[in-house]
Amino acid sequence: MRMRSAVRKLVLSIHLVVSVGWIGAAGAYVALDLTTVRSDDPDLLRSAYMGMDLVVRSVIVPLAIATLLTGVAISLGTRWGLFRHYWVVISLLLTVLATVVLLVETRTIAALAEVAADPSTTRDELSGLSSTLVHSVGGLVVLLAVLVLNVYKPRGLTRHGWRAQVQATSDPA
Amino acid sequence: MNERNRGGDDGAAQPPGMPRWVKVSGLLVLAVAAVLVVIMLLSGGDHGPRLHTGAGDLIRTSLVVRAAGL
Repeated sequence: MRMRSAVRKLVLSIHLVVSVGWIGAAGAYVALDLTTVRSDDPDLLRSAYMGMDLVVRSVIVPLAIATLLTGVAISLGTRWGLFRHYWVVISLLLTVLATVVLLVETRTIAALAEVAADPSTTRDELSGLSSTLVHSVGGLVVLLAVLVLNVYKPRGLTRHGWRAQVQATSDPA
Repeated sequence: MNERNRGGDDGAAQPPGMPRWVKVSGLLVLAVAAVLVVIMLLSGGDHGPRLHTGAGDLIRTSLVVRAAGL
């Protein structure tokens, strides 16, 4: 079902805000993640791990879920559809993948923050805590790839999209 | 190469093939994934979703073991 123009613009605006916000928040997270790799200062390490947990739980996860929901809504409510164009299908798959990895990773980040927040955790133990840098940088690359796909919208109909187009052409009513 | 073979949106009589950009991107992603897997294997990494389930227990256990000097 096609959205009315006003509704489409509203949903698209929300989608742009949350999706670009997700990229920005992921960038901030990478900065904290880099700190856990490069610093030996215990106070800075504690702050970084606790900041990562806070940013993920209160900003990144809500933005990821909102991006997924508004992306699906805007696809279904416009001529693009959800499975008609390769760029939409690939964007959806990448967004779902990024969201699932994020949700799985959230447990690890919460555990790291819990250990870092414990006053009995020593300086050496803090320095020995693992990093999530591979996931965070990888996630940022995936989000940027989705952004590029959404801006360029490269051509290419799926079989489902082709059948829908043929049907619409032969039966305009 | 005609529009149908490029996966164009022209509504040709035959279903369109997969566009070249999808094939090239897919091959690139596979190549990068293969390189990452090789790097992880060479570095002796143990990576996967299982690593994250119960991660807190793993982290705490390793800290307890280290703190006890075991």
